[in-house]
Amino acid sequence: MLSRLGWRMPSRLGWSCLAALILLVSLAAATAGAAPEVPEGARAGAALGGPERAPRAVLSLLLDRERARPGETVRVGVYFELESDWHVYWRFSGESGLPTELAWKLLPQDASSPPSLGPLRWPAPSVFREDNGFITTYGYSDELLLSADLTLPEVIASEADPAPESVRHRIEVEADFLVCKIQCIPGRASLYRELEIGPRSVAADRETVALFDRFEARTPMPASEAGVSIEALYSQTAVRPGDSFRAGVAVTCSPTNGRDCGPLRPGVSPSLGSFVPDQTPGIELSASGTRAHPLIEGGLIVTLEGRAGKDALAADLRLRGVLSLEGAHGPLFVDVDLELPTANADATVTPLASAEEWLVPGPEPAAVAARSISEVLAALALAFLGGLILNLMPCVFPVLAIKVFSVAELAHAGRARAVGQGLAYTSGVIVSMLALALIVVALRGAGVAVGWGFQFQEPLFVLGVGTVLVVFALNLFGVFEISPDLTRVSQVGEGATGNARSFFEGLLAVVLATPCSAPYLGTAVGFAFASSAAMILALFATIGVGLAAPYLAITCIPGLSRFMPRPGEWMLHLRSALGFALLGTVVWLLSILGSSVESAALVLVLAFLLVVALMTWLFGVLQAGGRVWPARVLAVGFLLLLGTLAPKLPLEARGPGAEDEAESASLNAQAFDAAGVRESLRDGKPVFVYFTADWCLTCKVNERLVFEDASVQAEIESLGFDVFVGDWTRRDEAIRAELARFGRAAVPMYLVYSPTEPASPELLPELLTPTLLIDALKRAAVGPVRAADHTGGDAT
Amino acid sequence: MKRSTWMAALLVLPWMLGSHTVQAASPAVGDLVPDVTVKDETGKAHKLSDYRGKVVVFEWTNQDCPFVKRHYKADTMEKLSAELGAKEVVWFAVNSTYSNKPEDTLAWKEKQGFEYLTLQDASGELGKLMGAKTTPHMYVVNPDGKLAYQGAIDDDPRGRSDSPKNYVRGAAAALLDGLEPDPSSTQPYGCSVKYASN
Repeated sequence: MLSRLGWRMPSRLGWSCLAALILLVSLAAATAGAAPEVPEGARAGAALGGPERAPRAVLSLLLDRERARPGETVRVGVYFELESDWHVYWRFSGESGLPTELAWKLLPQDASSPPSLGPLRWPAPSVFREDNGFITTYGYSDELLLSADLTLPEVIASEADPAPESVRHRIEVEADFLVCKIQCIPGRASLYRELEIGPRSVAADRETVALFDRFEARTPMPASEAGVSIEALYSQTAVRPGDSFRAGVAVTCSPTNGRDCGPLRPGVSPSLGSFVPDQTPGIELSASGTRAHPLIEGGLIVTLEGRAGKDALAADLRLRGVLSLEGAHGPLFVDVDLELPTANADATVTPLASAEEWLVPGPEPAAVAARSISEVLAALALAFLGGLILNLMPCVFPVLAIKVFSVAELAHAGRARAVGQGLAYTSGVIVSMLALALIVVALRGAGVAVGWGFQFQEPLFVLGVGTVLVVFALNLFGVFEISPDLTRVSQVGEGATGNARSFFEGLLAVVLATPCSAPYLGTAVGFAFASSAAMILALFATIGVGLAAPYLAITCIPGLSRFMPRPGEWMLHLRSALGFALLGTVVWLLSILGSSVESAALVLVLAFLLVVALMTWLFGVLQAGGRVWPARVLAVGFLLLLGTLAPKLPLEARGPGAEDEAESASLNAQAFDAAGVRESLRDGKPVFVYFTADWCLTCKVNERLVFEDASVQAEIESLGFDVFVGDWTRRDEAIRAELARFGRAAVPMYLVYSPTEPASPELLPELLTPTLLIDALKRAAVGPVRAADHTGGDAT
Repeated sequence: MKRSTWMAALLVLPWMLGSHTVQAASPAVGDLVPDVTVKDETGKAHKLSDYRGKVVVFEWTNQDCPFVKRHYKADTMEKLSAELGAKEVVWFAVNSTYSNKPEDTLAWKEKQGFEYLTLQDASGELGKLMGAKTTPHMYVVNPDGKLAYQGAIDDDPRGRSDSPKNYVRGAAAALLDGLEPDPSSTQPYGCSVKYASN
C-alpha cells in the first residue's frame, strides 16, 4: 500500500507541478542574457596602427570606416582588451587609481578646415570594491572601447593640390592609463592610423562596427532621451564646508515620454553600482544603496552619503554621475547632472526631515531581469506553501467545509469520478487565480496601483460575492440543483458531485481566500507585484496549486479516502449546516460593506439579496417540475435583473477620512499621516503604526487578541508610544505607497519606530502575539540597543 | 521559516551593502587624529599623541607601488622630509600593506637611503582609522593633533610636470606660519592601499 501511495502521488499531483517547473525553466532561460563576445576581427582592423602590447592590456585604435567621404562622421576609438581580473579606470577613478586619458592629434594640422573631434563616450563604469570593502574605484574590466565622433571637413585640400581626389588623414592618439588587479601598472601607448578621405566610403568590418555599437549603447544618455525624470534630494537645504549629509537621485518614468520605461530597478550588482558619482571638487560622495520611490510607483531613489571638505565649496557645484538601471525595455544608462546647492561655512541651513527619511537605503524593489533562479524558486515555494496554509484561514472555511463533505461522498464513489472532481476543483482555483493575476497585470499596465485584497475595496465586488454565497447556500439547502444540464433533476446528495460544481467551488475558494491571504502571501505577492507579467502569472498559479493541493491529494490518492466516513443520512444535515456557514460569511461581507457605505444602502442590499433568494427559489421550483424552458428563461431574466439592479444600489464608497478612528479606540490611535509620525518622532516619542482593513481578518484577529490585551495597552501607555492606524478598507494612495515602501502589497503591516532611528522602523510579522509586540515596543523605546542587533553590520 | 529568512535577508541586505560606505570614523580636516600606538621597523613603539606640539607628516607608502617608486626615484619624499626636518617637522612613513615586514622596510630604506621611520601597520589599523586610500596618501597634522591636510603629495598624478605643486610642502609651511593650509584636502592618487582583508 505504502509503495503504491508513494508512486501514485507524483504521477497524479505532478502534472500541475510539472507545468510550473517548465515555466520556471523557460523563465530562467529568458533571463540568462547572451554573453558578449570579443570580435576576432576587431584587432586586425587596427593593423595599421598596430595593436600595441601594453602591460596586461592590448590596445588598438579602431575606426568604424575603412575609407570615408568628405563631410562624413567617422567613429574613432581606442579599444582596450584586458587580461582577466585587471581593470582600467573611468574618467573619475574613485578612491584610488588614475583616470584613463586619451590625447588625440589629427594630422595634417595645417589643413584649411581640420576635422573636428567630438567628446569622448565613456560607457557606464563598473564599481570595484576591494575585498575589505574599504576602497571603491570605478572602471572597466575585460574590455573597453572609448570612442568619439570624428567629423570630416566638407572640402578636402592639401598644400600640394587644392582639389585632390583624395587625401590621407593621420589620426594619432596617446593613451595614458593605469591598469590594476591587486598591483597597479601605469601604461602608456601611442597609436596611429591613416584614413583615406575621397569619393568612396567603405565601412569597417561588421565586428568592428558592432563593437562601436555595443559600447555606444552602454554610454549614458540625457534623462530626457532615456524617458526618465531625475531629481536630486538632499537632507539639508545646502551643503556647507565640513558637512556630512545624505543625498539621493530620484528616478521616475517620465510621463511625457510615450515609451513606458517600466518599473525601474537597480541595474548593476551590487546595487551600489546603480549610481557612480563623478568627481565633485571638495565633496566625497559614495552610493549607499537604493530604495523604492516612496511616492511614485516604479520609481527608484539611489541613496548617497556625502562629506564636504573644510575648504570653501564652489558655488556652481553640480551633482554629476551615471545611473545604471534596469527598465522595462532593458538596461538604462542615464547621465546625471543636477544642482548641488552649496553655502558658506557660517550660513544657516535647514535639515530636510522628509527627504532624510527617503535617503537611507530601504527595501529595494528586487530586480526584474536579474532575478536569480533560486530567488524565483524560493518565491514559488513560498507561494505554494502560502496557498496550502490558506486552507486553514477562516475566509476559506465555508468552502473547505463543503469540500470535506464532498470528499466524504466521493471517497466511496468511483475513482475516476473522484479524480475528475479533484482536477475540476483545481482548475477552478487555478483559473480564478490566473484571472486575478491578469487583472493585476492589466491594472498595473494601466498605471493603477493595486494592492493585494484590493477587490474588497470595491463595494460592487463585495455585493457580487455576497450574492453568489446566498445562491450557493440555497443550493445547499436543496432549493435547486447545480448540474451541467441546468434542468436535470437529480437526487439530493448526488447532484452535488458534478464537475461544474467542483470547478465553481474552486473559483469561490479563491475569491474568499484573498482577504485572508496577507499573512502568508504578503511577501510572495509583494515580490509578484514587482515582477514581470509572466512571474505574476506563475506565482498566482502556484498559490492556486497550493490551495487546491490537499483536496487534490485526497481525491487522487486512493489510500487517503479510505479514512473518510461512509456516506449516509448525516450528509444531508451537514449540507444544510454548511449552508448556514455560507450565510454567516454573507453577514461578514455585509459588515465590510457596512463600513464603506451608508446604512440605508445596507438595507437595500439586504432587499436585493432577498430578491436573489426569491428568484433562486422560483428557479428551483421550475427545475423540480422538469420545466426546461421556463427555468432557462427565468435564469436569463434573473441574471439580467441582477445586472441592472446591482449598479443602481447606492454603493459609492465614502471617501477616505470619514469615521476612520471609530473602532481603533482600544489603542487610542490617530489616523495615519506620515507628517504626524515624523512629528512624534521629532518630539522624541516612540511610534507604533499599524495598517489594517475591515476585510482583513488577520488584522482583526491581531487587534482583538493583541491590541486589546491589558499588558500591551499598559506597555504602550507607560512607554509613551504614539499610535497611528492606517485603515485600508477603502482605497488610499498614501497607505498603498507606505506599504510598498516596505515591500508589501497587503495589510496587515506593523511598524515600530524608535525616535533615535526615525528612518528605520522595525517591521513586525503579520501575526502578532502580545509578548512579541511588547518586546518590540521595549526595544524601540530603549532605542540605540536595537541598532546593533537589528540592522546587522551597520555599527561597524 | 523559509519566509522569515527571506524577509530578513530582504530587509538586512541593503543595510549590509550600505553600511561600509559610511566612513564616519576617519577624521576630516579639523578633527583630532586617532591616538594609537604603532611600532616602527626597529620595533620601537610610537604613541601618536606624544608628538603633540609638532607638525607631523604621515606618508602612506608601499615600495611595490609604481607611484611610490616614481617619487622615490625623483627623491620627492627624501628631499621634502629633510627640508621639513630642519624646521622640526616630524615625518613618518606608514606601510599598511598586509604582507609588509620590518625587514622589507629596512631593505628598502637601505636601498633608497632615507632617514625617517616607517610605522609598521600591516594590520591596517592606523590606515583604516585615518582613512588612507592610496600610496602615496599624505596627511599633515598640526601641533594640536588635528588633521590639517590630507590628500595627494602634489598636483601631478601622472608625473608629467617638471615643477609640480607640492601640497605637503605648502601645508607644512602654512602651519609653521600659523596659517590654515589651502587647499586642506585634495584627491589622493596612486595605488590602492593593500589592506589585509578581514
